[in-house]
Amino acid sequence: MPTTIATDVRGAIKTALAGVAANIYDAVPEAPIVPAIICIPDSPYMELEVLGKTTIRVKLNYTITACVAYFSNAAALDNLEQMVISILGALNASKYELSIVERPSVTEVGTTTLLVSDIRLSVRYEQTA
Amino acid sequence: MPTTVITGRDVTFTLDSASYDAQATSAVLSCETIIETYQTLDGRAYKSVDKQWTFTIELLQDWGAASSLFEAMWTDAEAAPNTALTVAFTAVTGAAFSFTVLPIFPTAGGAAPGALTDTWTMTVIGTPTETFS
Repeated sequence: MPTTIATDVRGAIKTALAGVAANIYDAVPEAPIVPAIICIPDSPYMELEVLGKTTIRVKLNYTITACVAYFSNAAALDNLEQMVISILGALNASKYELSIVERPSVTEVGTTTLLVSDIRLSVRYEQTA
Repeated sequence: MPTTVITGRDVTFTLDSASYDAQATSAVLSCETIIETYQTLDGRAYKSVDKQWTFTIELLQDWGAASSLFEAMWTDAEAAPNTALTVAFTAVTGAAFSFTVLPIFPTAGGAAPGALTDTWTMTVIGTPTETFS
């Protein structure tokens, strides 16, 4: 059965994050229910960095966005920090390259105010027939 | 004639019959030619006296993986440091080179948080045999 990025990369990330106390989305949701973790493509999304072209191998870059409700600044930041640490712990497999966690920022989705922070993640993927 | 452009994705090679495409990010076959210059009474004279070929590859470390290339190279360097390994290097379809290199010990480890990489600079024994078609 051929591999797909949806199943073997985004799905695997979602599975790895299953232990974190949050709603996990492996694509952009219409209305996330907080606390939430959203796995979305980063830019550049796919990098070709190995030799040869008989097999397609790419480095995929993702943004793991951690979202918490923003009611009280101090509590929201604490919740976000705890969620980020949980995410970093859940993604401890050697195949995941975690580089940085972006500064928290306030975002409005619909009528909900969220405190969000982006985690940069890279993973290598090989397409098999 | 039309412009010809080949890229790193055209490059393939096998080392000791193992394909390294999946791990290698760069592969370069190069030669340092030693040319001596003599200042004669008639002016400068040049003589090519020696050549040393080198095969340099950059790789992603794969310690611990099934059929690890790094572990295979370590074993070769430890058990048979003077036994040459055969390399078949294709720059692009129609330009292939075959030669032998001596094994070297790969590096283990690196800096956080990126992928661990290594550069193998291997001395080529003699001169590569080219096949242009």
